[in-house]
This record gives sequence, C-alpha cells and structure tokens, in this order.
Amino acid sequence: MEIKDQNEMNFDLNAENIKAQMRKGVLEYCILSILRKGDSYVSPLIAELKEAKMIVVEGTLYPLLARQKNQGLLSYRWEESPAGPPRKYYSLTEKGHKALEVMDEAWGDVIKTVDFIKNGTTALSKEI
Amino acid sequence: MEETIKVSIGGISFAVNKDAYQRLDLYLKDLESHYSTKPEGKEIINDIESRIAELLLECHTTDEVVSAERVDEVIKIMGRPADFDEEEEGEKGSESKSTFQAKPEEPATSSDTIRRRLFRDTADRVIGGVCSGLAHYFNISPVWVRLFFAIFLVFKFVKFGFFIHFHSFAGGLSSLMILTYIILWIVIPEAKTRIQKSQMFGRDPGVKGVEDEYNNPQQPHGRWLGRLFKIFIGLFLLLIAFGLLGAGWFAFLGSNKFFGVNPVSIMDYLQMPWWWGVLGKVSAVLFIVLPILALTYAGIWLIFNLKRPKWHPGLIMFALWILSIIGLSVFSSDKVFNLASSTSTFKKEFVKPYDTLYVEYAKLPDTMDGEPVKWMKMADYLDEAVGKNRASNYVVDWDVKTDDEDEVVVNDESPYDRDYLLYTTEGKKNKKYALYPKIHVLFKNSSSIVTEEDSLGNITTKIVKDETITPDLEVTVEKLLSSKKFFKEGDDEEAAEKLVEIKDSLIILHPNIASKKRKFDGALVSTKLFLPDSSVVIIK
Repeated sequence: MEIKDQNEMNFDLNAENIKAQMRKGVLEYCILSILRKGDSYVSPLIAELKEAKMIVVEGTLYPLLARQKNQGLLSYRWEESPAGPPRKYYSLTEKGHKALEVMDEAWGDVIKTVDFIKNGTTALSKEI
Repeated sequence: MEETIKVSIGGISFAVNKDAYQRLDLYLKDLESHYSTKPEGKEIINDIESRIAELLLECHTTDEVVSAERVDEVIKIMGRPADFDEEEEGEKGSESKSTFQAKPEEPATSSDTIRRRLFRDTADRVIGGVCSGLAHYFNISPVWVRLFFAIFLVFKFVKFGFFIHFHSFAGGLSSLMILTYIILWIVIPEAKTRIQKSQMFGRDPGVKGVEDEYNNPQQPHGRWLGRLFKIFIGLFLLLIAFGLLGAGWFAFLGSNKFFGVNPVSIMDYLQMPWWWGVLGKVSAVLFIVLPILALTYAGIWLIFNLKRPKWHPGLIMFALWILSIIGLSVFSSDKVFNLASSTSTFKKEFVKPYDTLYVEYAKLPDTMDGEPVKWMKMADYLDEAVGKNRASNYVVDWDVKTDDEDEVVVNDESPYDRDYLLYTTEGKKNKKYALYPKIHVLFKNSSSIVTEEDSLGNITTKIVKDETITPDLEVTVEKLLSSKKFFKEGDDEEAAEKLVEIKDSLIILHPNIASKKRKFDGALVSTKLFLPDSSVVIIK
C-alpha cells in the first residue's frame, strides 16, 4: 500500500510538472510570436494572451519575460507613456528570431505528432 | 473623514485609503518574499508594480482615492505569487522548494537591511530639517544633534572674556558650524515622498519606488565594503576641508594683520575703478571658498551615499575655480594692480637756516563725511581686538607706539627716527585709516674744531661753523601701488606737497586718510630732515 501511494504521488507531481511545463513552453512560444508581429509593451501583450485564453492571471507573464530577456531572446527599451509610468517596450532579438524559427518547426512537428497519434496515420502518412 | 495615505507605485503617486494600503502592502510584500532571492526578482517586482499603476490609472485619476475594492480587483487580475509560482514550478522544481524553506526568514531580513538614507526631515524642523534628518540617519534623538549645533551658536554670541584665545577660536568654530549647516541644507535632499520618509528612518516603505531600485541595484556584500571605503574617503575629505577652512580662518580672516579689515574688503580702500575691485574680490573669494566647498560637498556626498545630481556641481565648481584663477591673475597683473613700489624724492627748502625747527603732527578730523569720527591708535585698537599680548605679533613694520610726552626735544645727542603713525577708527564697520609720514632726523657734522698756531706759538682752538650746511628736508614718496593705469604722473609730488607742509620753521605732517569713500592712493611718505649738529628740533 505504502509503495503504491508513493508512486501515485510521484505520478501526480510529475503530471503537474508536465502540465506546467507544457503550458509554459507554449506560453513562451506565444509571447515570442506576438512580438514577431511588432514591438509591444506589456498591456497589449496581456490583452492578446488573455483574449486567446493563454493566461489567467497577469503575474504569470513577468517571470517569463524576465527569463526570456536573460536568455537573450528579448530586449527592451524605455518609452514615455502619455499617462502613467514609462513603459518597457519589448522586441525580439536576432537570437529570439532564430529561437522562434526553431520553435515554429518544433511546434509543427508536435502538431503532426499529436495528430498522428490521435487520428491514426492520416496527417503524417500523407506527407510521407 | 477617511484616512488616506500617499503612496508611490511604479513611480506614480496615488492616494489610497487605509484598507487599500494594507492590502497593497501585503500583496507587494508577498511578491517580494517570492522574488527577492531570484536573480531577476527586483525587475519582476518593478514590472508588476508598473502594471499595477497602469491598471489603477485605467479607472482613476491620480487625485482620486483608491479604494480597497479596486485594489482587490487589481490583485485578482495580477494573480497571487502562489498562483503563478505554481506555473513556473516545472523548471525550478527543486529550487522553489528551497526558496520556500527560506521564506519565513526573508521578511525579517529584508526589512532589517533596508538602508537608511539621509534626507532633511522638514516635517520635524527648526530651520531646514537638517538636524532631525541627521538624527534619523544616525538613529538618535534630534535633540542631541540640535544641542550640538546650538552649543556652537552660543560661542558666537557669548563672549568668553576670561580667555581671549578661546573666544576667537570658538567664534571661528561657530561660524564654521553655521557654514556647515548651510552646506548640508543645500546638499541633502528633502524627504518628500512617503518612500523617502520611510528610507530616512530605515523603515520598509512597503511599496518600493521603482526608480530608486533601478538606480541602486542591491548587491549587499560588495556594497558594504565599498560603502565603508567611501565613508572613509569622505571623512578624510571633510577633514581636509575643515582644516583648510580653519587655517584660512585663523591666518586670514580672523587675524588683524590687515588692520581690522579682512584682506578682501581692504580692496574697498584702494584707489581703483570699482569693477577691478569687484573682479579682485569675487576672484579672491571664489579662489579660497570653492576648494573648501568642493571638498565638503564631496565628503558629504561620499559619506551619505547621496545621488549624483544632474547639474554636475563638481564640474561647475571646478570651472568657477579656474575662472577665479584667471580673474586673480588679470587683477594682479602689472596693468591693474601691482605691488611693486616706485619711489621718488623731493627736496624742500626752508626760508631761513633756522636753528630751531618744529615738527607737528596735524590733528585728525573730528568729523568725516558729516559723521563724527573717533580715532584711536592702531596699537590700542589691536589690543582691544586681538588681545594685548598678541597685538604685537601683528604689528611689525608700523610703529604704533607713540611717546606720551607732549614734546620731544631732539638734538645731536639724541637723534630721532619715527616710523609711520597709524590711526584707525573705533568699531569694525566703515573703518577709516590715517597714516602719518615717517620722520627721521639726521645731524650733519657742521662744526669743526680748528687749531691755529699764531706767530707767538700760542695754540688756540676755535669751533668753526660751516655755514654752507643748512637745514634740509627730503621727502620721499613711495608708491605701494604703482599701477600707471590709476595713478597719474606727477601725483607723487602732489602727495609730497599735501602731506608735508612747511611754515617757516614749522614742519606740519598731515595724515593720509583712507576710507571707503576716500580711497588710499598708495602713497607712503617719509621725510628725512638733515640738520647741522648745532640745531634743535622740537617734535610735538
């Protein structure tokens, strides 16, 4: 019994991990994709992500932005705003663009893989 | 009325009510305890603060009081740190556990290590809030700092007659403390925002100012040593500045080497166009004061770790100092003001070869410019101003000791040499100076003993008077200020005429009087009286 319980717990934790990691990975991809369309500050970014139901609470975004900036995918500049505090305008760096290309590819692969697994051979076999 | 609190969120100030403030405070503390240990923690917190400000601004003007409900809404939008920490857990699985363990300690350490910053506390002020600000910085009661300054003020106004040295020392010290207070007043910023007020007491302001955090990224260990070093250097600079000020004070302004006026205002007494006077004065003052000011400023700046002001005070002071050097060199150049002296000598004749001559010092005027004037000998004045024992140190060249006898009889046996006589007026304001010419009486051997041997072999001795040797007066005009620009050609003779007057057998010595209205023309007149050794001079 004890052993089983522990296993279950481990599994739960791992599942939580996987879920979180999946969502985070996708969220990072989404952020970069939005910025590919043009430089932006946080508010429009949040608005778009919320509209797409990618995030629930805004606070999620900030650690991610900070990390992406640290990885060199993003850079920001300060700009005055007509009202309120100055805004950070984020833009993609060259490295960011490259990372995004890799992500695009990976994302395509994931879609195909998932499609293949869910719907049998259809999507993949057609291409092969 | 409901209590409102001013807070600065993301660099924008809001008025919030008490409830709202508590909620915001809790929320931001929560954020901080989550992120302060992470490498990007500060930045994340600042970004979130900016966003909160933005969200608050969306439906508030800055004047409007933010309600607790609105704060709750905003917090709901932003999410609790726990909400999005969970989303991040994947990557930092093990790490976030360790931060969780460390969490209970964090609030305590973070509120304790908030650095005190020096501000003027204008809410608790007597003059400029400098004393209370300093007191908060050193975590003592303002009473002590005020007492410290007040003691020096007492020195300024109470005379310690029992010990003259101490009095002049204490007087200088109190002026120094007043100057220090003024410099501190200028240099130390006022605590205006709530955050600054909290920082002044070293308290956690709860809501951090975004700007401040950006300018002073926190690196606790490296900074500590750096701060210590800066404080050390700062104290050293202050020491040099005070040393300079003290030395300057005692050697220059406090001394009476310049006859009771400081050398800067002595220019008021010299004959030169006013603009040269202004140039000289301004340059001299800047030249002396700026280095002291700069050192004091730099010292305070280092010790209290103040922010670098945008207007580059150091650069401005340095530029002004260079200008003052240029000004001084122009001022002291040959064309304007030259201490090199020139002398010219004039001979004066007596109508007859009198056997007895009289020398008289002309009386000093009782009134000048329509005001009564009270003259006193410079020696007496210095005795009074500096103290009896020390006055003699200051008077080197000037014979201020006059004989008390009414008359001095001078003959061959007792030649006479008297230096310039200097008088001044009482008090320190609007001083006037009177300078009598020097007089030196010299005797020439005019009679010779002639031994004659007549045809009988008798030897007779006779005193033969050489009639060609007659009384002779030589007047020398020495110009201390020999600038050709301001002193006309030929005014040396004018001075000689004016100051040394001959009336038959009477020589009248007139004082050369200088005041701010009647400037000193730089003429020092000395007279030499050559006499046959049989004559007598009576000096009154």
